[in-house]
Amino acid sequence: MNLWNRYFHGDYLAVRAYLFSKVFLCMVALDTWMLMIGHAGRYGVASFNVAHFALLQRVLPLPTAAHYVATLLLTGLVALTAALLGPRKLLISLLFVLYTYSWSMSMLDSYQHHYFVSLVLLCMVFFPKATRDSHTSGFGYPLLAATITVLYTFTSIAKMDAQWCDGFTLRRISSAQEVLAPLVKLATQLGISEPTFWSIASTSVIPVELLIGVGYALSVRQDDTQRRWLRWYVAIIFPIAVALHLGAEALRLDIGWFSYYMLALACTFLLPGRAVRVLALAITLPAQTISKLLVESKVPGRAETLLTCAAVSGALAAAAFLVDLPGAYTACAIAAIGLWAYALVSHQEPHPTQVGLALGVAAILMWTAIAVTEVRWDYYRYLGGDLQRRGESREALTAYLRGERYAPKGSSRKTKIRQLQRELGLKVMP
Amino acid sequence: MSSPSTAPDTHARTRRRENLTIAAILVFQIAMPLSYYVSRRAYDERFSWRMFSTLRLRDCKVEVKEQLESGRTRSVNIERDVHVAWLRLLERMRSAVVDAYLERRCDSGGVTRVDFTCHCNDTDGRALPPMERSLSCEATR
Repeated sequence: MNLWNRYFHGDYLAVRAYLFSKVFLCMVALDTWMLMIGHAGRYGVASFNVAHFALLQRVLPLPTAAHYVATLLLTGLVALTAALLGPRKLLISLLFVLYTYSWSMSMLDSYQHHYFVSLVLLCMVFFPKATRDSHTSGFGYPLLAATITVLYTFTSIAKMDAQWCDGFTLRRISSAQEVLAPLVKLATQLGISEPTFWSIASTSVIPVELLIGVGYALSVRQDDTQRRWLRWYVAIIFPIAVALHLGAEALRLDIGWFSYYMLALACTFLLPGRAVRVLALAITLPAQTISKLLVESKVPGRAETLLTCAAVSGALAAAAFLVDLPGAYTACAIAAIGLWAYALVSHQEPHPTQVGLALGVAAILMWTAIAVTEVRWDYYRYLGGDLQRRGESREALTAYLRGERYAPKGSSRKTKIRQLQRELGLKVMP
Repeated sequence: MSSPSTAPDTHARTRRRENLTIAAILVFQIAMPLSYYVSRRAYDERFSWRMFSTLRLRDCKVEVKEQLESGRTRSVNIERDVHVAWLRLLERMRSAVVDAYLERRCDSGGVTRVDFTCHCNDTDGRALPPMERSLSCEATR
């Protein structure tokens, strides 16, 4: 077996791929529902859009807020269904297409980590099936390690410029000056000037990222090697990677859940096998309980299957109504049609009842995730703000009024609403 | 009934197919960021893994002026024209967005030429040379 085959087709602990797929799919679902939807109001405004790829720009209709929300809701539903059923090639492929479409339809979403999530999903298409064996093989997992190595290497190379190395860029990042103030003070006491401190802090990130990249590349072999140095190296890289990403969070950068995705990856790839097993048991307990119900229930008859599909369609309709966002009905209708189509034509695993129950759970969690966060408030207030800026007062008023239902304490836009009502000659709300 | 050699053959074929898939994905992943460094799209950092890049942290102001058929020149209020998020992308000189926006202005009627200027200060506060782009609306019709 040559080096390539040993690397991409060698054995690793099955629990690593299992843990990662469960956690990552749940994170993707929550990310789409709780974070990405908030910006949907940008889409379709003034009929202007530039897609990430020229081909998409030519063949797709102008994305609107409803179009974008529907894509995200559906993406989340597929992600959570896949997490509950266990990653299946077809579902993950569908998820990859939906997720990639969600960001590539417009340059309004230019977060690099959304492109990264797409690459992760692409690797997950080739993940091994869940197994009870302790070791497994399959090239998706090592390919993901290689993907992360590429990311760290390039992000490190990108920092090899004078502005970064002199510390100007780091100093301008969000709250870096405030967060690192105690360290700056300490450095000054030790006789290190402030510019030198910023230069050292910035420059040190370059080798750190390169070392982490190497750690990920090596991590794939840690379960199938006698080389103690390799295990030690990977184990040492774990706290460094965690510190780097917790540091990025402390700087309050506008990078969504990127740090959390990277922390999940660090726990999966860099921790020793025993720790991953314990973590997997603890984290996936709720999902396992639900999955067990879905997988181990006796094979239902035709009537039970159709009844389940009808009940899940009802749950989807209720979720669409409660979510109260444009595009929600479209997303839930597509999900319901998909379920019925699967129930009518599928004769293979998983049974349509299992798929239906997983989708039903996903629909309930979708509504819960949206209801407990401020994503609807964000959607309506951003939309209202933009409409007002562009002089569309009546539409802005409608958006603000709708948003009031979801306004957190102390964040009401009543003043703006009254101002708009006066401007439009309408009855002013008390 | 399959011959005894079929199983190893199938395995070898599957392995070859898998290796080709791996190689294709890896080449794509390396080529995407590498293309940023070897091409001239300095302001388009997508897919290049340039996290926290200097470019994003520059202070930029964009100005769009259009010449009307009457010969008059007027400034465009971009924030009122499109969503403010597009203004942020114009400030970052995202080429495809700049081109699409200039074309949009040409399509707005009565416009013969659109001039785009972006003034930036680098992260150390130094003023950078302005970046300019123009579009003659005749060329787009």
